[in-house]
Amino acid sequence: MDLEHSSISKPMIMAFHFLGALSHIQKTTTHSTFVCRCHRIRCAAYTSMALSTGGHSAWSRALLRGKLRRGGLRKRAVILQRPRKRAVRLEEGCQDGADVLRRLVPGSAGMDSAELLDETADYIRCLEEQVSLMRSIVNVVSSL
Amino acid sequence: MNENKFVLNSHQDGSEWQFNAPVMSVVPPNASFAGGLMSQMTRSPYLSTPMVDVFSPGQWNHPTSSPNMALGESNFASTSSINSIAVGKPVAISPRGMLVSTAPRIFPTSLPHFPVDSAFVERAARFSCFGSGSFSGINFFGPSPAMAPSNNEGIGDQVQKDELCENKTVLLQVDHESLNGSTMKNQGDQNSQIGNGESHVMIFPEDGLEGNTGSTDAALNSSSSDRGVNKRRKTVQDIERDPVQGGRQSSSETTKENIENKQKVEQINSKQSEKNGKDNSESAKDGYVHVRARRGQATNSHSLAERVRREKISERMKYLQELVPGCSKVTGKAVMLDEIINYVQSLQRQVEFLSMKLAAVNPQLDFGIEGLLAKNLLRTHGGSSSATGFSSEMIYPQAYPSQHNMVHTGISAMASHSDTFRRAISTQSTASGYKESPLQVQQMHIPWNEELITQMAYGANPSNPQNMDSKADDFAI
Repeated sequence: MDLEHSSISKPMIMAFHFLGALSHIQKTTTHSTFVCRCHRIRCAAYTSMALSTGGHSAWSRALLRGKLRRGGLRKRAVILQRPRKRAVRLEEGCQDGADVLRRLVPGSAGMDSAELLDETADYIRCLEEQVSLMRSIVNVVSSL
Repeated sequence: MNENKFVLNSHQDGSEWQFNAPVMSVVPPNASFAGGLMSQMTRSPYLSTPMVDVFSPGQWNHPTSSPNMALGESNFASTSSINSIAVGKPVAISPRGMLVSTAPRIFPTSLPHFPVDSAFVERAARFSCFGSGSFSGINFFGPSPAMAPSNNEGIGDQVQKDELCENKTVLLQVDHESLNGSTMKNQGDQNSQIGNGESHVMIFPEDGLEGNTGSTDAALNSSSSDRGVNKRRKTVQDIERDPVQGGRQSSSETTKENIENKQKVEQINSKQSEKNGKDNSESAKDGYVHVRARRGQATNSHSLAERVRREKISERMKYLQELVPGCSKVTGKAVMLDEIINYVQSLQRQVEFLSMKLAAVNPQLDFGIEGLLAKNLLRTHGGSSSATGFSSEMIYPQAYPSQHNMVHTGISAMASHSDTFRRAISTQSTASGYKESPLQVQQMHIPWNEELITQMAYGANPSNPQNMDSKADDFAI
């Protein structure tokens, strides 16, 4: 295991997975409807987003947990189980008026404000990268 | 000009405007109370020019030397008859009696307790601003409690002192709020700590200091005039001795707000910052949490923890402010939260929209791009093909150890599109149904504007994160 392997940049990993998923979808959904394909591509986008963070953030783990469960890979979902050491804390930290944000950011339901803001920052960063990646792919593809 | 600085402090944070409004409203009405002399001093809600002189420690012990003092005394004499006038305003001064009397409508009738004595006036003036209120903001107070009395003395006018006290408390609280980024709740706490319904005007802390044991705090906390006077003199002397050390001390503090305090105070007065430093060094009794209670703040565990929490949140809000475009000028947690929510929603909508676009163009193109990616990755991360197959596998487990299995499927998917992966594929069992398709690289001679493909195709070093960062930038269109 070379340490340098872990220095692959995040956008590259994201592109790697996303493109792989795209090609997979393209091959396997020729008969599907447009909406179905849209949905699958969106899922692929979020999955590649979550994968690129390396599981450091709670939102990525929550995303992947959801995807795995849906995919029926129960065994693998166990890997992503968040340790249940923290119950949902209804202290003042949770009642910050940030409930909308909690709904938006996956897996952030049981966090207090500080962690929520951390997660949000990470989520925003990944979203931006994903959007830029998708935009560039669309550009390339549509310019062909 | 100090008053300019005061204005600056109160204007620095938009969130404080909410506090400003209720707080500042106290001042004008009070200003209207005074007589003609008072009106001179209260022309502006902030400290007027004569106050500047007061800040110099020299005048501390010689209030009579200042012209204001004479003015004040005469004013005092003229208004001494007003002692008995009832006032419905801030109470903190009331125990002082003297001072209260000069601003008739401000103070309750319990005024004429104290003899009208110029020396007493000085002391009372000094203490009037240190009434039984909890001190909320320190920075501003930069000239802080020690300076405040000196200011009052310098002016010598009780009314003026009161006004100044009020002004300073107002400003101080405002500044404090701004520094903290605290919510109304915080202010509510402060007000409750003050102990009287009124106010935000009379902030002075001393009573709020529970854990501070420094000499300055003791001085401030003491309600007896003589003791307080003496100690305050000492503190002032201390301030004079090392005006800058406080700034240095505060620079070593860990809390962000202290740093902010220091910066702001230094704008105003180096002595003020020094005062902060002293307060900070004194109040750092709790080594458990690396937070120093600022001067005038309660140091029990609850408020400390709250303060830490608030600081953390404001820190993160600042980071988010940079992340979200166009939010550098937005101040206030609520507005910032709204902006963040909007931004996240817009990003998610963009993802949906782009996925729709991709779904529309998908059938037209064979995505052999990932083959290029895989090839490049393999090329740079492994020698032999079989080894590369495994090495590429190894990459991901390191990146995300919890998703080993997912990675396997991902890698095998990639492998299916590249000749070099074929041997690797044979050595692993893939759960996915990826077919091996001919590498469609030739179809992908796309003039990518982005450098991604060129770098990937020609073996750019992907282990150099900067390359990808630039590529990521190129992704943005």
